Amino acid sequence: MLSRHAEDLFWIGRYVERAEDTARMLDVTYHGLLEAGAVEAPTAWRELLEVLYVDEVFAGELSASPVTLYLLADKHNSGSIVSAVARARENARGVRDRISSELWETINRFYLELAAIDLPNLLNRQPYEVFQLVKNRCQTITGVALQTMPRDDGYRFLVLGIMLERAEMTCRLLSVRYTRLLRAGRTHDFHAWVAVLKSVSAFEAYLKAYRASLDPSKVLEFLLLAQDFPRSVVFALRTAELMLTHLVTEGSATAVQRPLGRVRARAEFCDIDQIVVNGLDEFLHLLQEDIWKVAEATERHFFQAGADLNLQSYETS
Amino acid sequence: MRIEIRYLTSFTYSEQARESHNVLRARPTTDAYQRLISYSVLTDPPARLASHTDYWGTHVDTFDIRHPHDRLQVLAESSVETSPRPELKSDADLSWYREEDTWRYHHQFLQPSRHTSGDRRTVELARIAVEDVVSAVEAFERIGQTVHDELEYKPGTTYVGIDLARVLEQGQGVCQDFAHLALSLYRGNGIPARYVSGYLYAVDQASAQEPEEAEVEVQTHAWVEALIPGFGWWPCDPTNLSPVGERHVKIGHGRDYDDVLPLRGVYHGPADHQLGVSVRMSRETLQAVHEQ
Repeated sequence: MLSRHAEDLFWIGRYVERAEDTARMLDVTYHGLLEAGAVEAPTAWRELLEVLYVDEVFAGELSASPVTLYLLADKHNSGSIVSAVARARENARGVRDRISSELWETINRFYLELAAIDLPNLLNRQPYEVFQLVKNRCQTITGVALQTMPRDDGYRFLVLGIMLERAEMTCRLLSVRYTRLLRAGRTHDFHAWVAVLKSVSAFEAYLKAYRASLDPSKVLEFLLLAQDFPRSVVFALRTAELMLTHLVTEGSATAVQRPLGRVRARAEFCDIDQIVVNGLDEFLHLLQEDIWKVAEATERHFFQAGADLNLQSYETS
Repeated sequence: MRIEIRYLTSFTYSEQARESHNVLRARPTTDAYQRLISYSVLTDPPARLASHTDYWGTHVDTFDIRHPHDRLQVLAESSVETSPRPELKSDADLSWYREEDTWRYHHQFLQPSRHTSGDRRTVELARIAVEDVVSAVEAFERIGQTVHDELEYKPGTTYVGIDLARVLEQGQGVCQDFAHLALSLYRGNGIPARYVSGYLYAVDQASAQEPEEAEVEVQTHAWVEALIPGFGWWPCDPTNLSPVGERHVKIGHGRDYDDVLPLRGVYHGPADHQLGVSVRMSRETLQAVHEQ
């Protein structure tokens, strides 16, 4: 397949996952603050902006409405949900003949839906509905992709994009919520941990694995290491690795496989207790950096293959 | 006349090349005056060929070599039976070229294209070439003559993509330059004209003399065809002004060189490569048949 097509599919996956995870993070921050005091709010919103690497660009007031609006509906913020959906759609448009018409229509319908909704108004009245809508539509998109795409390289690039983005975003979510709760000394705040788990749809899955004991280090262990939970970091990285293995047919892609294997092993075989003692923030940050490197290597190896060599053209007369 | 053509192109790269994608237009066409008998393409390293007919009706072979390689050879062998053309006869005058329908139906061969030119000197030359001419046939011949007078055949003085104004300035060129100038002059006078790519069985392109030996080493050749009212497309070889006949083997036509150039492609690899092109043409005698 053409590297241009592969790149488009990879980025559809990333943008859709990004939109969904951003909505999840907004959701959990927003609802986590409902019971908290007014003092906590600005810090919580600043931390959310930090974890999404937009704290320096954001110029508004550190309260629910401006931050939510910025992360959800600001077209000038390239990381906002609206921008991510618009880019996913642009990429899908470039590969319309490679994806099912249902997949294209689902992405396009979501884009048009977001454009038609009065987002600021709805956010003021029913923020929960908005976050729910974004999560729901993004899951519909990935669901349609799962059910309609042949399991070829195109599908693999799409899933690779989803999984790398998901691994990174789960790390971010953990660093924004977990470290905050630990720092605030709320290690036994039952509702706060329920919120963390719910933000990645992991509440029921967690209960099934660990019963009702909401031990913070168990929550961390689950979201980082669960082998069978599709939103855990290790699951995402393992799936990404699996996709990559099938993508490597000729030549070597060790340039991508090696960093991915390394970061997966680092996460998979880590010692949770040790990490908590040594500093979770640092650990999560390193993990994120390594995932970036994998994405960069993917970019270099698959999408810009030979970009370092000049493309030569010739004509004979 | 039965002609065998062996067209070999070889590239030698200074380092490994890969992802090579190539487009070959080497198969002689079949029309009223020539018939293709056989055609085959071989590449080394071997590649699977895909063929199609392009918009202009030319047979196109495409092939890719993705794995690293340090040389590429493309061999196209064909065998053609050609027959002589009748004499060009037409009473038509130039008025037909000024009719709206002519432009409407043939505008693609009347427009300027990348390798033709519409600069002042060419326009002036186009005007002078057909001054006081009434008949279409006379205009057809006068333009061929003008091109032949303007340029001297000299290989190595021009290159692909050279500005026609520069060719005119230096007054030298190869068959492509002759053809492009002729196209400019025909089109400048409203005469639809198209570029023809092919092979010429001759000692050299400039003289177009018939070889004494059966086999000769030549180059790919180019000439033009112009539209004669009531007669159809008629060839003119401005490089040597010899009548286009049995020894011209046509591959295809287009607006200019770009539409029918023999072999083009892209690859990843070193910019410098050595290119060798060899065209061997031989005349087949039908001795074996007589002996029986």
